Amino acid sequence: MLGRLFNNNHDNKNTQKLSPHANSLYNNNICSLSNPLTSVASGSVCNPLYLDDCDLNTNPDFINMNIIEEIRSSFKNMSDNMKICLYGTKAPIYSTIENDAINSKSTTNVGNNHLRRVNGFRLLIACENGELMSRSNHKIIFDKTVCSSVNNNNNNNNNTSNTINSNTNDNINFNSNISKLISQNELKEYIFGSPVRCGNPRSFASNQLNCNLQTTSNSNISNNDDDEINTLLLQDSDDKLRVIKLPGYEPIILISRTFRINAAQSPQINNNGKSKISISILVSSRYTSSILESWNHGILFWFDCAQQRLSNNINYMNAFNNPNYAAATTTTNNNTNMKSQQYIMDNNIRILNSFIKNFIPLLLSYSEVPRLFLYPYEYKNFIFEWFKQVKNWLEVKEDSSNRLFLLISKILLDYKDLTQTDTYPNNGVHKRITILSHNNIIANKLIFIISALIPNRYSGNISKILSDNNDTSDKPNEKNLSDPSNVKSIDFLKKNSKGWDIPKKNSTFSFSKEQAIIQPSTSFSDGKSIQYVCSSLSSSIGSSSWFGSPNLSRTTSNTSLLQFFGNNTGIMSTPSPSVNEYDEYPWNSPASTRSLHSSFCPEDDQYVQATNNFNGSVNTSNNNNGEVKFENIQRSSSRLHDYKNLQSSIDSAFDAIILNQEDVDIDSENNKYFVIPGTDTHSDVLDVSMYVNNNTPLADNSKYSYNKREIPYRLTAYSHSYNPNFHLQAIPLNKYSEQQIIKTMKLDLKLDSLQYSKNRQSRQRVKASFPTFITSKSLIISLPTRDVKEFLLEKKLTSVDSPQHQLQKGSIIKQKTIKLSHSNSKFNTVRNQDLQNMVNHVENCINKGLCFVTQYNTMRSNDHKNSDTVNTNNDDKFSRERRSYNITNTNRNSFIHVTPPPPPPLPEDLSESEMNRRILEIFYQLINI
Amino acid sequence: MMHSLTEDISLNSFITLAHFCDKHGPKVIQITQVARNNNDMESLLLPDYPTDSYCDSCLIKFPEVKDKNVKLRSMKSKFESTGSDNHEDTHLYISTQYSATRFQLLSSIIKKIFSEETMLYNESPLCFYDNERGLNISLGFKLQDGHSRGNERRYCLIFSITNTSQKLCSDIMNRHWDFILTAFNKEVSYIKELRKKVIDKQLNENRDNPLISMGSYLRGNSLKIPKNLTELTGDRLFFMKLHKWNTYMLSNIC
Repeated sequence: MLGRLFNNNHDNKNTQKLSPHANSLYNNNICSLSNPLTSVASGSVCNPLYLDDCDLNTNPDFINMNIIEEIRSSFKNMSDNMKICLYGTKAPIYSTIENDAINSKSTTNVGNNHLRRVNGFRLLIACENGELMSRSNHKIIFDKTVCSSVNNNNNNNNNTSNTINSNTNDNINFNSNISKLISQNELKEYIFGSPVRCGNPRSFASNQLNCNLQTTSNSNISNNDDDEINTLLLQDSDDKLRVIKLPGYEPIILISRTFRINAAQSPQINNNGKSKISISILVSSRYTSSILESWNHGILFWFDCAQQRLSNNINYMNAFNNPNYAAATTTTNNNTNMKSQQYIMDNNIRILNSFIKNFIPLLLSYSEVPRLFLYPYEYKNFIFEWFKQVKNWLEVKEDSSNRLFLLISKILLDYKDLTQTDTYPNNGVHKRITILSHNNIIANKLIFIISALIPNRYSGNISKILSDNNDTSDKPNEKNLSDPSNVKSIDFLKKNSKGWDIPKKNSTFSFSKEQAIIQPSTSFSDGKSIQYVCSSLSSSIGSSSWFGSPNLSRTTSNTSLLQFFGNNTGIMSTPSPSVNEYDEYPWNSPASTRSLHSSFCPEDDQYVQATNNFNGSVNTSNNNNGEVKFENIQRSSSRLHDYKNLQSSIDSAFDAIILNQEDVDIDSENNKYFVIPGTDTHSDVLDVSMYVNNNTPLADNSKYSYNKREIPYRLTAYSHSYNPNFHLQAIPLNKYSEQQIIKTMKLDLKLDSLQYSKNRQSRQRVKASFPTFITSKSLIISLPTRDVKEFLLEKKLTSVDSPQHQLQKGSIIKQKTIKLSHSNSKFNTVRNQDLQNMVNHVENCINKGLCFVTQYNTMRSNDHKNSDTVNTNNDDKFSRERRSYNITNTNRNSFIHVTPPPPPPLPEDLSESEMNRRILEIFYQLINI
Repeated sequence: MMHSLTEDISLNSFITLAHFCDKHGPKVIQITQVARNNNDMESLLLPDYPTDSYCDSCLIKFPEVKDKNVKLRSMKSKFESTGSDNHEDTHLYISTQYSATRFQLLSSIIKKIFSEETMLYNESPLCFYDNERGLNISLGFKLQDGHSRGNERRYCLIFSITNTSQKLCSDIMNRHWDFILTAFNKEVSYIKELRKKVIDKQLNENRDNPLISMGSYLRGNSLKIPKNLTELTGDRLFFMKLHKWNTYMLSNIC
């Protein structure tokens, strides 16, 4: 009965007319509701065509889409070393975790690999009429399943080493669609629960809701502002998440929001207030972690919007059935009837549309986008590598204006707590850093430099999450090395290993490995793909400098490199870098000109080899000499594989607390457990001492506290579209990018104020204090235009003590754009003394660190000179290197007019750990720890 | 801010063992709550109540003491840190048969779980949030017993956090979901293991007795005997162990 209200087959005999406001709604474009908060890959997903066959019948329908593919494409062309450096592993990063609390339990009997994958996202809207005895108590209004078509292409993807692959590849045939696995009849049981039950307790909120709706229900019809959400309405709802296990398949997660339809809201369908509507979503349990994480950051908001829309439907029907309202209107019957159907159908399509355009991409962005791995500062030579990258950046990308120092200073001052929005409470402050660049290689290098400044590092034990096959994967492949063709590649490497250079000449060499065909990257389909491939190639080859991995064979396995070489020709057909490339690629500066020059002359053996040694990577003999050898960690896109640690710590705690529990006698002497005699207020109490064997305290952190699973912060590298859920990212620069960012910031304010206003209206006691202001800040670094600017939006909330518990409607009260650095190399630091001081501090520390690194490498090279007879001229090269460094250093000092004191020469016998300690000290000084 | 937040979490979190009794319907057997200090604890400790009003299967059983005048109604624990450990947990953890301060809330929660929801007892989690009941993560399981209706007894472990904002609840859920479920699962498999041992033992003992058999189809109502968990698991310290495990869980979440 109720379902008919939502059905397009609804046959309304009443003769009413629409208000002119409602009329205007028909002209609305359905796609216009896309919500920038959650829209990740709107380009490919929003295909208006599917709406034609989207009749709202009750049969599941399938809609193919390519969101996953789109997210993946952003991570093509990334060198192995870049992956290690940003993500902690060079192995493909899968999008899902096999191992978690739900899946591990469900696989005790069946091997995990044998569980069939469940595909698709199912949206189901159903209502319950509250007629317990009736067979038609439940009505399914809407049941659609959206499927991703990506898995069908899995076989193709296997040929290329993408950063992300879909899960295991061998079980494609076992994929099952979520719409077929569980019937509607069964689902309604899970959604609405047992048919025999006592009524829910009526909350204060729902009573309040009744009064409120009586006065506003009619006005709601004309007020079709989609942005307005009736927060009172949302009070009377409950959210549920349950796991449904199916034999042989992955468990399914059911999320549902159920709300009651009130008598005041719809007298025609009044069943003593027992009618309920539910919006439910079914997905595979692979997405559990994404659901949990995005619950507050989008899912609830989506449910709020959908609930609002369904409520509008009811209100609308209400008005139609209201005689008073009918008398006031004058349109013809047929017209009205059609329009009412149209309105309801439109609303339902909007929910589906928003499910496809907003909800699914939101979920996928949480699970698919690989997050940065923040190495602990103490981890091996991490800080050394950071200084090396800073040095490279200063030489190649900087001119005398020192934008990098300014940038680092700004981040240290204002954006260090970038990740705090992830955790509760965030005090109403949202912060993001976005890099705009056409070049993913450059952007990713800057991402690495910036990410090291964020102090919330991985705090667990890295050795526990290392991949098991590290040893084999990191050893140089002897077979490859002995292969003549690979020897050539080594020569090539040696000559071109300067970090971010573009080879000028076409070199001739071949690879023994399988040849790959050039595949234009979908992410760069704007006609510049060659340009990107070119720069990615240069970086791949030079990527040995990126964390200095000595593994040569790795280079040949690089995707972009393999893709680049034509089949069987063995000839590198790189065109010279285009003019556009230069426009962004190195900023014009004396230093960068010099670097460019040297890199464009591979014959300049001396310089190049010096650089090689500085980066300490190509020479395999360095392998055992304290060089950085980062191991692969085990991870998925959004989680680290640390579930087994959690499990083992729980196991050991269980052993200690439960299994080792002695069979005690309370009355015996020397007992740890004793009875506290009762008082007037309470009876006798048993004091259960928390000491187990040998008086080991249970509170011992090391033994009994569990290893918390660390959730990597939402920071990511270069991707081709803006993702508002990530605090640090790089995206291509276009004319919409800034607009997009500002839109997201506005939405931050809106969502937060909605949240606070919901909390206030709720009768529950919420202890967390409300902030007075909600702020959203974005730091935007535009590499091509050389701008660094900050957007700031601020909104005031009414004070908690205010008798009017309503959100101030005034919206944004402060909007600022601060340009920190212009293309003409000038800073806006004059007025900001703090920033100026910080810039000086940063410059001092970095210079100190760079001198230290240079000295260290000189010392190391001397060792090598003695041990390795091949590199005969190391000493000369390094003195040249040092000289060049000093020159640039002097240039820089012209800006701050402070010459850092030269660090004392390093003692000869300085140990590796001592070196690390010293450089770490400098770094801590830099970031003020 | 952080301090008050931690307090907020700990004071509003509790773990419940509930049971769907053949005779009484949804019942709480044991609830473990957190107190900040001795004053708070006073309100959580229970006065003497007649245990006769509970049937055996709904009753919490404390370890026995010889002195018959001692009427144990509560258990309390405290972590006492010794040495250099900085993990100082000053909270007190109290387990009782029912909660004096959350009586209605608790009955509303278990009523929803056992009668309103379509409850699964195959250890698949159910999690719900509403303004009344806050966030609840529950895990249902059943134990075989020939003396009960349908030859099985149904139980549920519930972690709840109430009276806080939904935002905080979802933050807790995000961070501790795996921990809560894994710890619950550990507990449940242990209980089932104990139960299995008891059943095996009984089968062995009664092997030669043709009159006694475990379970029977269409058994008359008169044979439905309430049984306590200590009896079902053959562990007289069962509730004390459960209390300690709950304490461990709450101390790590709060």
